[in-house]
Amino acid sequence: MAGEIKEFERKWGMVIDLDKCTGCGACVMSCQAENNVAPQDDATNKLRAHTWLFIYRLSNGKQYPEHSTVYLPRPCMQCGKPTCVEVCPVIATEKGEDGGIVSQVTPRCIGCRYCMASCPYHARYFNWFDPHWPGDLAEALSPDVSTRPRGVVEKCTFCHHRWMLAKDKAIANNEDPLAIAESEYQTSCAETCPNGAIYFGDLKNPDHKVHQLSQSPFAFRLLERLGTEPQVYYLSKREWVRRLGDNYLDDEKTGQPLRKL
Amino acid sequence: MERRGFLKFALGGVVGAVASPMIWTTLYDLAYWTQNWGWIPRLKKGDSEYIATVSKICPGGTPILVRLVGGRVIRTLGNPANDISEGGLTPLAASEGQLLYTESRIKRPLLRAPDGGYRVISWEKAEGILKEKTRAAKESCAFISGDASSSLNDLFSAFLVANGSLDYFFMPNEQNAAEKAWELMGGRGRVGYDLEKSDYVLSIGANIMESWGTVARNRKIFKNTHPTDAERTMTLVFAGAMQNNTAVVSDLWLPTLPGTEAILGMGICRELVSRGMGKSLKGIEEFTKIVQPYTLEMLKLECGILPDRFHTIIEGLLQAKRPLVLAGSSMGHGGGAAPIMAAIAANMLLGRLGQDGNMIDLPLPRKCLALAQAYRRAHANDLVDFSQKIAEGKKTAPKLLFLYEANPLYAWPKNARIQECLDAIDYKISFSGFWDETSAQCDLVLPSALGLERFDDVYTPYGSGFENWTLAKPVAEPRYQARPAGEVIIALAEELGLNLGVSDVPSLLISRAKDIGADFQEYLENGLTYRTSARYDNDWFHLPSGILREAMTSKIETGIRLLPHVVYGIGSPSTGIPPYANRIIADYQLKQNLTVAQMNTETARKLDVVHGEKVKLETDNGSIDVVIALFEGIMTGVVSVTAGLGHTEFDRYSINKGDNILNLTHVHIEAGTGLPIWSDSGVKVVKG
Repeated sequence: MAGEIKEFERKWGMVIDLDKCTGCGACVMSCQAENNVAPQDDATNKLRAHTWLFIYRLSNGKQYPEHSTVYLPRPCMQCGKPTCVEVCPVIATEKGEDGGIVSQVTPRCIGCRYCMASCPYHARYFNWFDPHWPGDLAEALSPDVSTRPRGVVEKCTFCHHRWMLAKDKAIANNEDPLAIAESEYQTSCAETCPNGAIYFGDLKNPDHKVHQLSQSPFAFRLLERLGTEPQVYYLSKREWVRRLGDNYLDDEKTGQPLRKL
Repeated sequence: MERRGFLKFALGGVVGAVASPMIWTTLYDLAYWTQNWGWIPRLKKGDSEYIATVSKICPGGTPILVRLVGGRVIRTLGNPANDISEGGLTPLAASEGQLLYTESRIKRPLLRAPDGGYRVISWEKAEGILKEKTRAAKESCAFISGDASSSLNDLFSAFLVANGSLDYFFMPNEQNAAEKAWELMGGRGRVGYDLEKSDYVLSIGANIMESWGTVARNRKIFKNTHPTDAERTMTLVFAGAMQNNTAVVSDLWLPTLPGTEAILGMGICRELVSRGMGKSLKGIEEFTKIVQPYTLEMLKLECGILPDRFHTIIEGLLQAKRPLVLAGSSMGHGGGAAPIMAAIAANMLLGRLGQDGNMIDLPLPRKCLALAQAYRRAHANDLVDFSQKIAEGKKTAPKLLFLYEANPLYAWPKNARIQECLDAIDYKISFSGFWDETSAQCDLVLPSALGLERFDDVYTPYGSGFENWTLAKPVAEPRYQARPAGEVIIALAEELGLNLGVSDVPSLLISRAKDIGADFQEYLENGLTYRTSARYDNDWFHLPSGILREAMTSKIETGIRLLPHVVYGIGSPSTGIPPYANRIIADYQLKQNLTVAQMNTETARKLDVVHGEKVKLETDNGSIDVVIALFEGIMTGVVSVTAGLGHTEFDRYSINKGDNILNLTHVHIEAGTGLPIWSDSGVKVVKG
């Protein structure tokens, strides 16, 4: 894969404990309200439904009663080596150098959807239709996130606006904006989850919970061996869940170094 | 024109067009006007503020923070300062902000015209009609409340009593069955569940992580007892027919067929008795005889349990310091009292009833108003019995019916005969925030202020572990012409010369706060939850005998069982599907406009159906069209369908979304207790 992994002083990341997720969808609801994602009359076609945070139901593939289920919430992985950035012809998506969040500049997007084709996580969505808030629903729009028109791609931004607001707040308080506390910047999904399954923070900061959790022996990343270096980690004590995270061969174990082919 | 002349003219035209800016301007305009959408909403800026209150649409009373920008409600968030939830939010509570603005909100008073349509009327006219109809009906009136945890019930109940009627009903809930079971076994107050202090929780049928009791609190307890980076301090076991939201995070799942929760409970009691538990309890000899038939063989046969997992659970219960057994139905209601009585008995045998970490006897809510019906009296009223008797002509229908945020037409099975009952009532008045199925059949529909627009409270919602009270306060003016129903009823009572003993809703809530020892002003300002440690001792409890024996004779379905799956994200009967909830409805719940029926491969093989096949589910009550989805996390012989679909009213987010599972289920009466049960229906799968 072309490109180099970009490393920054801060690296915002997420750790999702799959053994604690019930798949209730509170995170999805909060994400939409926070980021002004327009409601859709019919969202049963999951390829067309805008779910910046999508919840997959995973199966261990066994039959009842040996069957086991896990729910996997999937935001944008904010890859260290984002394939979407590589292919964007108009630099509408970039790897942020302050925290490593992959941006999506919708006014610059020309809707070619190369980024969607290149994203191995299906984390990007194209606005096929005009966004529509029927009746007075537009009254509930947040002033923090611009609405997006038809014809552009959008995706999870780790609630990047909250990072900007947290920095503004620190500056206003005469504090160092680059040394804010973990609780000052949390994504909407992380703060909503009633089970505490989603952790968010600076992966490089030892004071942040995600730093320690991401190094757990039960931590894994999706399609890790593609080399995209996602900034989203998952945790599960169940081996079958970790195996589903990537295309393991039958004789391979998870957590092992990349197999030399 | 000659040929040469024509060519000259054409050439001149082309050169002229190319030289002029017309083409380029047109292309530019085309690009401009097709890519710059003037109709994208512009964001409105303003000062941001956060107000702490409580969700009135989430039955578990989830604490919330409401974000306002320039006075507009933007969204709801969890409240980290409130220790009930510690910042967690249910999907239903997360949708409360958007629900203020939905198209389905009732905006003005509506009066049904003779042609069946509705016309807008003024509030003055509506109040005149209210007065006229109430005065004419006198004692021939009834009231259905859709909010079981509000102190406003005392107000509505007092209003009804002042008119001379005791026909006050609640929408279906698990609370009524639990209170009945608790009372029958000697409970003096209300059943409480001290989940915080338990180290082993066995939930029989109750989806405690999604739809049972105080969900946000239940999940906070799970979060704290199951830390990601340390050993768990509580074991959670779920017994049910499907790997639902609770089962997937449980430490052990015990498959149990729907409708057999009471049998499993009795089987657990038998095993505990055989291990010598409860020897000193009064009535143990009689109880031992009652549980004797519930052998392991019977549990395997009737419940479909796996013996090794069953034994693991028995050992777990015996070894735990503070075990708790609780029971409920997959629907969140309609499961009857027998499973709960069996769970209470199991806790007694374990020697834990009334102790920390177990079921405890919480104080009975005292009346805020002298005229109001006592708590137990109001909760003993049975709407199904009332409705069926009216439909059968065995009881005279009231002349006037009030509905408060209640949608019984959607929320009860068809053979509860709500439709016939409504047809028999002369005049129906609905106080509702949204245009629901029942409001669409009412004569007068009044826009009710929502929970974020009015004073209200949440007083010890079912599933709590302690007496608690949270004040709901208006964070914004009522939108459109909505008014708080409580204030309308107080004004109506004054017009009719009825003295309810209260001048306005805040006064009522102040008296509630005073009664339980809370400082109203303090909780108005901080938005937190007040809690007390009040509880009764457990000297009054006794093991069940006659009634439980009788209740256990209730018919158990055979053949393919229908398993309703309730998820809060899909809304409630009184809210419909919230705008943003469409995206959390999975493709194994709804496929375009068809309800999805989940079953495992073995069941599909027996029924000769395949994944994606369209079939009908049929019962004596009716049928619905479904599409099959295979899911191995479900017992053989069970078909699961998500509840909350199939609305015919509300708005674009609710209409034409599958079918209502309650069109299939049917009510029958639990022997002994007389409670209606409808969560254990059998079903036929019909091809073609």
